[in-house]
Amino acid sequence: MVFSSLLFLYAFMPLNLILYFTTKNRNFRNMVLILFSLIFYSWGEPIWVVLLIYSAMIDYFHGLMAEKYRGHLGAKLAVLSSLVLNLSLLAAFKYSGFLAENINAITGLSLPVPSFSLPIGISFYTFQTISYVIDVYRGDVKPQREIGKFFMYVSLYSQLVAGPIVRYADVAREVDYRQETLHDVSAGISRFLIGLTKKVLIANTAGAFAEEYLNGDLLKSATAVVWFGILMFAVQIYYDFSGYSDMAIGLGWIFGFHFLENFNYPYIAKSATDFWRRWHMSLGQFFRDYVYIPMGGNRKHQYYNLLVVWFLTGLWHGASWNFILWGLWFGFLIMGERLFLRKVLDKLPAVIGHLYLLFVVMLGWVLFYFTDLGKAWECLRVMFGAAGSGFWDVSLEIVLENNLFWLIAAIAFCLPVYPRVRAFIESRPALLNIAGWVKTPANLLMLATNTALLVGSSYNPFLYYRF
Amino acid sequence: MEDFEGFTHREYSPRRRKKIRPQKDHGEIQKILNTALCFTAVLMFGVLAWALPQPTYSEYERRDLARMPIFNWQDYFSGDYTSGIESAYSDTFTYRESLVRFSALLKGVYGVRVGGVTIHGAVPPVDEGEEPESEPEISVSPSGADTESGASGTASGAQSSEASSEEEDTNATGEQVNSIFILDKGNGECMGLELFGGNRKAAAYYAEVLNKYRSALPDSVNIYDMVVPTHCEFALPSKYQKLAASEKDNIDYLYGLLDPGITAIDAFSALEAHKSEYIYFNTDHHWTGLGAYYAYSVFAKTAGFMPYNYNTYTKHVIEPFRGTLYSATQDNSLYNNPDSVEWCEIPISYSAYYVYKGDPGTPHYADGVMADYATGGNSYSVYLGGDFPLICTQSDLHNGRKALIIKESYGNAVSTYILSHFEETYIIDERYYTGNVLDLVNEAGITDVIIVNNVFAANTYFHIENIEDLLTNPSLALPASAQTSAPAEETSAEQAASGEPEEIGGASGETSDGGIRVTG
Repeated sequence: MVFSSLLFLYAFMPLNLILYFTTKNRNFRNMVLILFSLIFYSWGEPIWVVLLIYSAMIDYFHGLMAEKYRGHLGAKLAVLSSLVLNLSLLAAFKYSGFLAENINAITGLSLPVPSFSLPIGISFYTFQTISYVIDVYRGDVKPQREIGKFFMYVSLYSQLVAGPIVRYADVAREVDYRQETLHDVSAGISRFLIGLTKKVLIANTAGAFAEEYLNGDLLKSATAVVWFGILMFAVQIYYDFSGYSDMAIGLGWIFGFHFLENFNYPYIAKSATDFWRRWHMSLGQFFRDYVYIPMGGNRKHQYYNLLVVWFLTGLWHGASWNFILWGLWFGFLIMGERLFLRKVLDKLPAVIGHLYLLFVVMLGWVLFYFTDLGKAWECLRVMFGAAGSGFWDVSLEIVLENNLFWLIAAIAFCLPVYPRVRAFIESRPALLNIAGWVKTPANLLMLATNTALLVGSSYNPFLYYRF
Repeated sequence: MEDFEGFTHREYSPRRRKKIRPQKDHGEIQKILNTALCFTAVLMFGVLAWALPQPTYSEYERRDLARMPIFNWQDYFSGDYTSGIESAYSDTFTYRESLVRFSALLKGVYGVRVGGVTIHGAVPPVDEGEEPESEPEISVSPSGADTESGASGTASGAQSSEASSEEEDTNATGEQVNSIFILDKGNGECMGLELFGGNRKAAAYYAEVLNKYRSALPDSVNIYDMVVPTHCEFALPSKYQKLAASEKDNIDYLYGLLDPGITAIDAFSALEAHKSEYIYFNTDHHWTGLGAYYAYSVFAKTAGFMPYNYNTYTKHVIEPFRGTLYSATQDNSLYNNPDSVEWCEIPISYSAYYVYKGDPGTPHYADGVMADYATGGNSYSVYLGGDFPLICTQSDLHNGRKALIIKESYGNAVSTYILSHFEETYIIDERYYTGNVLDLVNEAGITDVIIVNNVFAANTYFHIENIEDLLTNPSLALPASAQTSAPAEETSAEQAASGEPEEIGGASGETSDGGIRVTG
């Protein structure tokens, strides 16, 4: 199930909230969360829900072992075993097909290519449980002894399928002693609705444009059209992903959890280094804390470390060469910035840095969008005028006019408009009071709009005549 | 946050990690109000969605809405059961039609319409036939491996593909709606135009198939081909000409490839001469009865008949009519400018029978072929009552001429004029007739074969292949009683009263053809 579906909004969520808040009994509430998380997950993965349970169970025991044998070989073995088991889950379900294909291509063998459908969220929850075991091993957090509570942490549906990657250490206290408050519930509702609006109003529309302009015959497209397609993909992926994070964070507040932010206006970054401090922050932190620094960080063979980290970051996004190249693209940019580029950029006006970043990110999205590298190459050639049907297309003009306000809004909200407005309001008590009253009607309006758009997207006229 | 690459070795500490908490700002009452109202709104709609009767059919979409699936373990484990619930739930959501219309209105204010122009759907590549068949690009893939299959998994990558599997049903039927250009001049003149991309390879194939007809049929049988241009050709403003291919060039090209033994009917010139008249609908992709009349006049003259004068017909009007282009786009300008259907009574006395889909052996006698009860979005079905595998009319003329019309829905309107000149007229729909036309020509003693298609159909493999298959289909005898017995009066009256509901209303019965419901 996904948050941006009518069934979730109007059936799953109200039932969940009613049951959750009927009693104050902590165990009951935890059980409700587990139950609904299992329903939520098995809704989309009726079979592979067993993987989730398996992954949670083994790491529950790994955590206990790491604690029990602290300072001994047993603790190391617990971490090793957790890594081996979790990564082999990932290898089997996410990468085995990719691996077999490449071995076949290189050696000319014809190994059978397994084709599992990727279990939803496996990349997220395996990383969460790995981080738990390592944190316990390092003594950063006490292990959770109650298996139910631990399972609640792993399976919590708000961040289960699309992040953020929540570290156990960050919510350990709240797993045991959280407190749901009216303030958090109210703010959580607002945050959730903002995320929903980002997803439904912006990301879905942008996604339709991206598909329309990038999935056709690129060589017959105009340069501006393909740039627009990639811009729309950039808008889609930011709003989609950060909208999901907003909804996860908002749901967390409702249930008394406080996660870390996952996005911080990445498109205003001035360098690739800066971009990755703002984009999918929980992933960057994971690789920093569990790969980069253990490998030696900045202290030894830094560039090799960077290369490995960015190779893995790319690979994490999908079992395909285009994602690896996408990761390495950022790796090289960051190395380049480290070597000389940052010094150059620092001397130039800030706007150059912004333009540089947007340019390299857009090129990155070309690699990210096309799993078929031949298509990506085609796309790049059209973008730089080496192919395609000229620069401009009159139909693009019409589309830009027809969606002018939407486009302005979509681009404006990539900038930190909301925090600025918020800071302004907070500095004036009178405004703050008005804003408090406006918030509810605004929320209801967002709910109504999103509902209509979701129903509208199920509008699927049966047009017999189309061939 | 720490600087990633400038990170120095400091131990991780949860306390240093800044967690975000909602700002403390609003008053207590405001928070209660926000929580209570938002929750009540969700709950109320949730209960209404559960309790109110759910719609099962959508008139605008002309389709049955999804139904709740029936549980079985196999579907459950494959995920079909839960996704079935999800699509049924959103498909039959309470107040669906109003919410759909609201969402269409909302999208209408996403921007501005300069000159009243808007486009729905991807504009097809224009094939004017000038450039040579494009060479397959040499794909340079640095890795040497084209890994995953197509790039259709748009927002691929772990987070998106894992997160947004909800995209899956958006295009469940796989029907390709062409790009629709809408022009609202603001003075009550508003039209939807399907943009014609053209496909010369397909057009050449169409000509080739017709040439096969010429070689397969005896020389004594006349063959006529009428390829009908569409509204786009005449109404697209010159500023936007580049969005569409020239239908005239396409038709000329196609006609140029026809065997000289096939008579091409120049519907184009007849329509062009009257392009300022109401010859095409604005909210529907068909031509009007008047447009069909002009094409019919050309045919009649070519085939040696004196066409009727339009003024002599007895006429009726059906309105309002919001057709397929409105359905496809939900565009508010089209909604506010509905069409009207002016139809003419057939000026001779004749009898008719229909053959329904899935039941080729039974003739269903009818009072006539004008379905005067057609209304609303199906008003074009006034012509022939919609698309049927076979319709046969028998007049009291004795001129020795018998016609076979092979058509898609554009042919419906023009057939109702043509049949006035023949002793018998067999009208078959190329998509639904399952018999063999050569046998039909023999059995019925056909003297004139008329193939009518709009230019989109003549550029579309699906249609062309269907026309080709008609040559090789197994023989299918005409309905048993049809040729001998005269139509029985009482059945025709009954037929008119019952009114082909499955076609016109679209709501009932007829599922035997794999779910294709045809509306004019």
